[in-house]
Amino acid sequence: MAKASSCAPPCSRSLLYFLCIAALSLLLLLLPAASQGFKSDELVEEEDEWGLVGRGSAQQQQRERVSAGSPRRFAVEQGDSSGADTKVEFRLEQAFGDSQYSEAGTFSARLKPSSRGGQALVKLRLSRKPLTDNEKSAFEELVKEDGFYTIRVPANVLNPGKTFVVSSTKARCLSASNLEERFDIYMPSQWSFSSLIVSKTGEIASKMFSINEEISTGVGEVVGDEGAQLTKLPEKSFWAKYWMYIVPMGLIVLNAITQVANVQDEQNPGQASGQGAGQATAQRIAGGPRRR
Amino acid sequence: MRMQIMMRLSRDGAPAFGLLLLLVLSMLMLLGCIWPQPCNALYEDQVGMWDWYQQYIGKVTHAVFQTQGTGRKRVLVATDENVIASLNLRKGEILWRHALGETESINALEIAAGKYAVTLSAGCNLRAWNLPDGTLIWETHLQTAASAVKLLILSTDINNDRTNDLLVVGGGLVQAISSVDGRLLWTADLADVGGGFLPQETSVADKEHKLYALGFVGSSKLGVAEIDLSTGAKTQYKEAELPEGFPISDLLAVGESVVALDLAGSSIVSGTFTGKEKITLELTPVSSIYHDVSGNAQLLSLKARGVFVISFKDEVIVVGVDSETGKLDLVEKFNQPIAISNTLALSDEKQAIALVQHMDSDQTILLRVIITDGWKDEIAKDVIKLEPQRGLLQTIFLNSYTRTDKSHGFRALVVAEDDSLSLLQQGEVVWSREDGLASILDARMAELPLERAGVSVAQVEHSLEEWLKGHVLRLKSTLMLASAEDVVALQAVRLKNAEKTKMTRDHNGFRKLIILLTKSGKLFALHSGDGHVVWSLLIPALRSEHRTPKPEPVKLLPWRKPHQHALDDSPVFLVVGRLGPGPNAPGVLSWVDAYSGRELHSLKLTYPIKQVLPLPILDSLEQRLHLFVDGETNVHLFPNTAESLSLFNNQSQNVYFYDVNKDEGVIKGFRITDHIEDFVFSTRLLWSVVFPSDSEAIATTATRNSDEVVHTQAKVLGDRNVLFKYLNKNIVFVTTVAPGPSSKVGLAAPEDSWLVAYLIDTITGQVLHRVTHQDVQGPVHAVLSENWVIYHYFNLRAHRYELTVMEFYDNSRAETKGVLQYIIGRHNASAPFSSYTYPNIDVKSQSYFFTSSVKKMAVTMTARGITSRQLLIGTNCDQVLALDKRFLDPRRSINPTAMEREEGILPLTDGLPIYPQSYVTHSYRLEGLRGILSVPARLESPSLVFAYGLDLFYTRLAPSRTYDSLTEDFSYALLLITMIVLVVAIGVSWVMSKRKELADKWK
Repeated sequence: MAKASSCAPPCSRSLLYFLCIAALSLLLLLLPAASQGFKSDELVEEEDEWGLVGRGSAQQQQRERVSAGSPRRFAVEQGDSSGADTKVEFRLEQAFGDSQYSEAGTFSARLKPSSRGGQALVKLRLSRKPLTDNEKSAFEELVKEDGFYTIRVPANVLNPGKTFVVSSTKARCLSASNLEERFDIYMPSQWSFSSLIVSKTGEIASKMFSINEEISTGVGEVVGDEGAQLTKLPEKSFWAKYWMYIVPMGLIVLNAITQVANVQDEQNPGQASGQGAGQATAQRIAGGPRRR
Repeated sequence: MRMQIMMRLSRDGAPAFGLLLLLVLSMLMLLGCIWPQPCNALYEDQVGMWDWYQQYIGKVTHAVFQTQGTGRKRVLVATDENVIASLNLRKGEILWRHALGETESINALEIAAGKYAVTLSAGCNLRAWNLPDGTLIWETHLQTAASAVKLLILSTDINNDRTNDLLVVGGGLVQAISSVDGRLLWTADLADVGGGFLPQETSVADKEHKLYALGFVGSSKLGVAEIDLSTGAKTQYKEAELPEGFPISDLLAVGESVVALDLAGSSIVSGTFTGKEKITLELTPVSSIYHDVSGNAQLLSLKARGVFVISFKDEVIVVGVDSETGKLDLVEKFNQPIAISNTLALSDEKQAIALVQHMDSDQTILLRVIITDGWKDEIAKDVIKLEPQRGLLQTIFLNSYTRTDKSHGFRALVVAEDDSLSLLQQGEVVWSREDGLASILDARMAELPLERAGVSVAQVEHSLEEWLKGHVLRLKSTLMLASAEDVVALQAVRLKNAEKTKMTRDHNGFRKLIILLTKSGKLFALHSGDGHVVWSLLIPALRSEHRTPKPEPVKLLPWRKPHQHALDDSPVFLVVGRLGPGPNAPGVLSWVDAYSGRELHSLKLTYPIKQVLPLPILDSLEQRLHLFVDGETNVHLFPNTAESLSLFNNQSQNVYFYDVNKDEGVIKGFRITDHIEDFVFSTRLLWSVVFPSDSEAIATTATRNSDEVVHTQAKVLGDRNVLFKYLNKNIVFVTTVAPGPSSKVGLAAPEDSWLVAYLIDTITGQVLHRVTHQDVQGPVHAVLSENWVIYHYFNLRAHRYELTVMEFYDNSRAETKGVLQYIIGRHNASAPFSSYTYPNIDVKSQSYFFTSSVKKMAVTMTARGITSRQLLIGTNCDQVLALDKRFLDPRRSINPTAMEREEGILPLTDGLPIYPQSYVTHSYRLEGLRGILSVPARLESPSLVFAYGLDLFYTRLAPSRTYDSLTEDFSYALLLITMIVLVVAIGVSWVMSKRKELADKWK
């Protein structure tokens, strides 16, 4: 079915949203988030392993600053025994409009055997590559022609094949939101449900990570300016929206005023001939008993 | 006014008392007229008022006549819709009917023991049905499950119960079954007689009490096994070498001879297999029998002595086999197209056969009955004019009867290209059934033409006398004065209301044309008033030419719905088809006028149509723009005019579409990129959602109906809060289940079963919501409407079916409350909606047990979406159940607060109630229910519902009762009389009060 969307207005919140259902195991996996225009070289390690199976039912939300490290080679360091962690890396690729895909960053994670059997991905991180000059100009071009910025990751992160999970967003939406992006990765999961007297659908909330970074470097600024030009679609003014109600109201009020004025006008001459009217009434009253 | 009169009258005392009584009475009568009628269900006398029901059986594949004895004129038929039915031979109506279900394709139908109809279905189920009433007498499950299974009625008795018995041959087994009780008498396994012997054909020699089974052994030999009929013992097995390099294809047993045709259809091997120790095979080139050979040969059995038929592309030849030598010679030749019937034994010696050939037009046929000895002796010859739009006759079943002058008369049951069934007798069509309507592929509704001078009105209007009579009857029944005959007469008047079958549009929008596309490629227009066929069209573009693969109809789309030019233009429908089987066959398009039923034009495409996308853009002729997605995901724009191209170019940036690939478990979103050539555009992948193939397989997808109207964007709660509905038109609801063949209850363990439900935005591919249900399994049925989705599945832990409802509310608009904020606030109705903004959705969800399994789900549609909706559930018993949406409210709780009660929220229960009155189809069953179509009328309260399967059913529903119109049988006469009585009473009382006043004054 064709879907014609309304012309996309600027995004109120930034997002580059994509979905991945990785063919891994039945385990709850997690998601990463990243930002663009990075400065620091340091990868901030956090000790707690978010995203483990059964780690509390509440939605886990974390904010994390991720910085671009030197992109590592696409490789899996094999752990030899089942007990050992295995490091998994997979590429995030980007395309500007109809261009070829190029590397945009690397996801890294640890693959752990899970207590429930199978494997779980933990410590998923994204190191985003800074945009090259060529990419910057390509992005600017994309904003101008209102094109799509596309990213993809392999659908199966353990054995990356030819199947990719693809997601796109309007480049101007991305620029309008100061290149703030957000990845939501959906993966095969277990869920629990709470019972009342009927079994209710519990739900596995997507674990969301949103990374907000100050954009201070080149790309952000340039494109940010570009984005600023794309001002928000002006909201219709109060008059533009409600003139069809206001005008009739005004007319009615006007009408009422003139009527009131007319009544007054009529009363004034009426007073002059008040005598005659009074006589007529008197006659009518007098006529009553006569008829009887 | 009235009060005044009454007060005056009361002052006047006794004389006015009678008048007062009259007034009270008349007011009561007035009340009686306008009292709203509750319509939870139908009253007995309302059946048939605005609903109708039609029964069909499908394309007939087997037919046997049962005409012996007086008063028993019936024909038994089996159809490709897996139905066995008994039809009245005089009128064609159904005496009884059984639908065996989707998996039970019927292989054979015979009459056994003179009183049972025996069917062999799904290759292994043998059932005997009682002829008069269709009750099941016995049922036997056989070992064989092969596709090529044969049922033979023996003319000998095996188990000495004085009835002839049955043989089932197939899958290397021969099984004898008693026709009295279905007992297996013996089984002969032929698989062990020789290396790879597979019997394909059988021949019964009654006199010798023997059965011959013939088949190929490997690819180089022909084997014949001889079986003793009384014991099932294999008495003899012979083999014969086939000629060198003879690629085998077809095998036929003709009497005591065997005939085989090679793959190319150029040479025939023949020989006799009885008696002698060794079979001698003889190779005869087809060209030596009949010189003009033109490929595509096919062997056909006539079950006639010593002859068989080879059918070529343009001709059909009848070949005789010499029973002594096995030599072949040409008996007769006919030109295609021709339909040849079964052979009919007139006496021990004489056999007759019927041939049907079309004359100049498709509509006129020549029916000849020929004695098979010599093929020259015609006993009957009729030129018959068929009804229009029947196409070529496909199958013919011949039957004979004894005329009053003791000669042989013949009747023929013919199946035409449009799957209709007709009985021909004495040069006339006795009756005809539109059985193509049993296999409807797609259904739509169209408006009827506007009423104006020049438009022919098919039905004669009511005369004034009839109108008065009807109202008098109605008045009588309201005042309970009607006698039993009056009630019957009134019912007849109601049902035959000419108003509902008029061929013009009515003010309330109740009269519609139902356009139906059937599997045979025929388009029907039915009148919604009583279901009669207004016109039908065997679509020329979908007819096969010169025996090429038959084009398959796929879809029916509304091409043009005139609004501005409704007086001059008629609606046009587009039929999408395929030139051959398989999804990669090139497409074919045909445009059909919905009023005249004529094909306007057609187009054969060079590319396959994978998807049809109706765009929300209309050109100046009000034709809807359509995109056709081909095999390379390029899109083709239709109509191909410069205007539509410029219209589309303006909007092409905003056109997105998606493709669900169930096999690969991928959903892909595309956008339009470049203009390649004239009306072709390229596309680019925008997003993809990949489901893990090892844990999730796509079960169902559901989208919102594009015609759906939503009245309000907000829902006002009892506490005067507002919830904003998330009304995104571009969403698809997808459910995935654990892969594997676990759709049958009992095959999967709860631990290995789950269902994941997704709500996906089709512009960005964003997953808006995702929920997993553990321990449940499909099949899943889902319906998406407004801001809610309801889906049905089986819960393995609870061992019950469940219905889950999810409602989506837009939280990003939640802060705008209050009128002032709504007017000047940031979020208001004029702010455009974008899929690229981050959605903030609140999902409310609840599951309920439901006692019935579901075949189909739909939802009622009304003109403006104000009326509350009902869920239409096609149950497994082939009935349609209307379930109020308020039962499926996720906000139901055990103890609703006073405010929630005020809102109409019901207390929570674990199950959903099924009231017998809420069955829309009341006492009818729609065998093989396939679809439910709901369209709005022009009035807001009613919704028109059309359900189809083997049967058709149409009715009018009022989910919130008919609050905006008076009921059909509202008595205008009663109202008129009441008013007249009132006026007279006023006049009389006025005069009386005047007099009284005058008299008082003179006192």
